[in-house]
Amino acid sequence: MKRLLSLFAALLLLLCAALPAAALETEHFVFDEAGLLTEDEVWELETAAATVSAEYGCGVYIVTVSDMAEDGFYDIEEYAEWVYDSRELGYDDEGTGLMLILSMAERDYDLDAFGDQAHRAFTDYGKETLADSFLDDFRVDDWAGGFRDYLENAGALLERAANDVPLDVPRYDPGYGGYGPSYHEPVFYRERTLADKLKLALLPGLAVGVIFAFVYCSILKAQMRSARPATEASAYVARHGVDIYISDDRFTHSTQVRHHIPRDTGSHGGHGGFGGGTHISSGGHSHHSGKF
Amino acid sequence: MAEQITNYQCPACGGPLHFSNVSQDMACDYCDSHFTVAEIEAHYAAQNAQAAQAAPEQGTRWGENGEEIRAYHCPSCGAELLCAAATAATSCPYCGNPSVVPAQLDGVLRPELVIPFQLDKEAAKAALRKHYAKKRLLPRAFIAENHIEEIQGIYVPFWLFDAELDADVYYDATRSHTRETHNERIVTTEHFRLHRAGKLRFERIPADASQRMPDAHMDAIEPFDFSQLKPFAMAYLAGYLADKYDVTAEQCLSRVRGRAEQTAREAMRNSCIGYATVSERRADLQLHSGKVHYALLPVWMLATRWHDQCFLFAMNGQTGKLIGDLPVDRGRYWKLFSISAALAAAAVTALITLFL
Repeated sequence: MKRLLSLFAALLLLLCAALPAAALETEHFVFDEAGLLTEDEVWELETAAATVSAEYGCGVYIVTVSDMAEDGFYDIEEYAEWVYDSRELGYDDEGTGLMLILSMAERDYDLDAFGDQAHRAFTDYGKETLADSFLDDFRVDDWAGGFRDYLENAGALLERAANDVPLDVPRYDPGYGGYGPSYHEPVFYRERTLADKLKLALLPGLAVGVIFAFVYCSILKAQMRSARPATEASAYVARHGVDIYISDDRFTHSTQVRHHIPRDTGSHGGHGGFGGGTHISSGGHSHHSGKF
Repeated sequence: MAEQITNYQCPACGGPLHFSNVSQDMACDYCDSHFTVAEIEAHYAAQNAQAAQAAPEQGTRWGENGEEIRAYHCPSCGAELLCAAATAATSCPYCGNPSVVPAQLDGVLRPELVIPFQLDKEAAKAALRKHYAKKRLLPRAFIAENHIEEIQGIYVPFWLFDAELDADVYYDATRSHTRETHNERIVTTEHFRLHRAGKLRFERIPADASQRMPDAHMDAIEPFDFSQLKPFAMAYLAGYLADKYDVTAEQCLSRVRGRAEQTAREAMRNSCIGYATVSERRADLQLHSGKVHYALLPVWMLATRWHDQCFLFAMNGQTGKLIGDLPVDRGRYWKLFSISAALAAAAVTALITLFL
C-alpha cells in the first residue's frame, strides 16, 4: 500500500511539473498576421520565444499586422495595448510580458511591456537599446533577423534583471557612493572578441598611419629644399614704417540659418532619456515606439 | 679707356694683399703686415692713374663671344687671364694673386656700398656639413662620394631699393554667433565691409643684379645686416671674386614690387581683427620707388656634382646662413614612409582597440 501511495505521489509531482511546460507548448508567442515569415522561421522563433519566456517567467511576443487602421486604430501604442489585452497575452496570472508589434502599412513598431517584472527588466532605456538592436534589420526588410535579435536581447535584459542589474541610465546610488557601476552598459550584446576589435580598428588605424607617414615624409622632403624665392619683404619695413590711416568697418547686413535639433528619437510614451526607470501608462503598460 | 688689372701688393714686402674677414683690414700673406682699406686705396690711386696712361690697352674682347669673355694680363706674373665680362675681381690661376679690374666698377658701375666678408672658407665648409646633418632623406653616398668642387667667395651685386607703397584695400568680413532654443540651433552671421588704407615705407629691399646668380638662392640667404654697410672701396675685393651688375634696377623692380605688395597685403589684413572670415574684395597698391643703392654683398658659393647633377649652395658671407637643395633618396623615402606608417597604424589600432 505504501508503495502504491509513493508511486501515486511521484506521478502527481511529475504531472504538476509537466503542466506548465505543456501549457507553454500550446501557447503561441509569434502572430505573423502580416505574413512576413516562412513556416520554418515561425517555428524557429516560436521555439526561441517559448524558451526565453519559460526561463524567466515573462512572455516575449511577436505580433505583425498589415494595417492597424483595419482594426480602427491610428496610434501604435494604443493599438498595442488593445492587442495585448484582447488576446490575453502574458506569461502568468498577472499577464507579465513584452510584445513587439509591427503595423506594416504605417511601418510603425511598438515595444509594449506589462507587469512589474517586465517593467523592471525593460526600462525605458532598455527598450530603446533593445529597439536599436532590431531596427537595422527591419530597415532592410530582414524580418526574421530582426526578430531573432529581439528575442536574443530581450533574454539578455531579462537575465540582467534576474541578476539585479537591469539595464538603465546611470542613477545616483548613495550606497555605492556615486553612480551605479553596471548601468548603461549594453553588455547584453555579444562581447567583442579581440579579433572583432582589431577588425574594427585596423582600417581607421591604417588610414591614420598612411596620413601620418605622408605628412611626416612631406616635412622631411621639404627640409631638402631650401632655395626658395622670397615672396614678401617684411624684414625691410622701416621702423614705424606702417601707417594705416583709414580703418573703417561697416556693418552691412546679417543672415540667419536655423538647424533643427532632433531632441526626440521617435519614441512616444515611456521614453527613458536621462531620467532612468520605466514610465508606465495608466493602463499599466510601458512603451517604446517609432518607425522602422 | 684703357682697362687694367690691379692686384694689391704689400707696400712693405711686395707680397699679395687680401682683405681679411677676421681683422677687417688688408693683410699681407708673407710679412703679416696690416693696412687699413683707406691706406691701400690712397696708395694705389696714384699708381693706377700712372698705369692707365702707360700700359697698353687691356681687357680686349676675346673670340666670337667677345661680349662675354675678356682677356687681361696679371700684373704680378704676366699670365693672360680670361674671365667673364661681368667679372670685377678674380685671382690669377698661375700666381694666385688676387686681382681687381677697377674699370669694371668705375663710373656709373661703381658700387656705392659694400658689406665686407665676415666669414671665411672654413666657415662655409662647416656650414655645409651642418646643412647635411639630420637630413634623413639625404643619400649616404652623396655625403661619402661627393666633394665640393668649387668654393668661391663672391661679392654679388645687389640693388637695394628704398620705396613707399600706398595701399587701399576693401574686404568682406563676417562673424557669427550661435544660440539654441529647445529645438533649434540658430546661427546668425553678421556681414561687414572693411576699408583699410595706409602707407608702408621700405628700406633697402635687396634684389640681386647678377644673371649668373640664381634668384632663389640669393633671396633665400637673406637677410643681411645693412647696418654694417660701408662705403665702397676697391680694396675690399682683394682675395674674392666680384661681379658687376648685368641686370638693371628697372629689371629688378617687378620682383621688388611683388614682395612689397605682398607685405602690404599682409599688414592690411592683419589689421582686420575680430572677424571669423575676411576675404579681399579689391586692392589698389601703388609702389613708389625711391632711392636705389648699388651694393656688393658677400656670398660664398659652393658647388658639387652628384649623379651628373649640379648642386649649388650659397652662404651669406656675413651671417653664415647657408641654403641649397639636396637630393632625395627615393629608397630611404619609401622605407621611412613604410616604417612610420606601420608604427602609426599600430599605435592607433592599439588605442582604438583599447577603447572598444
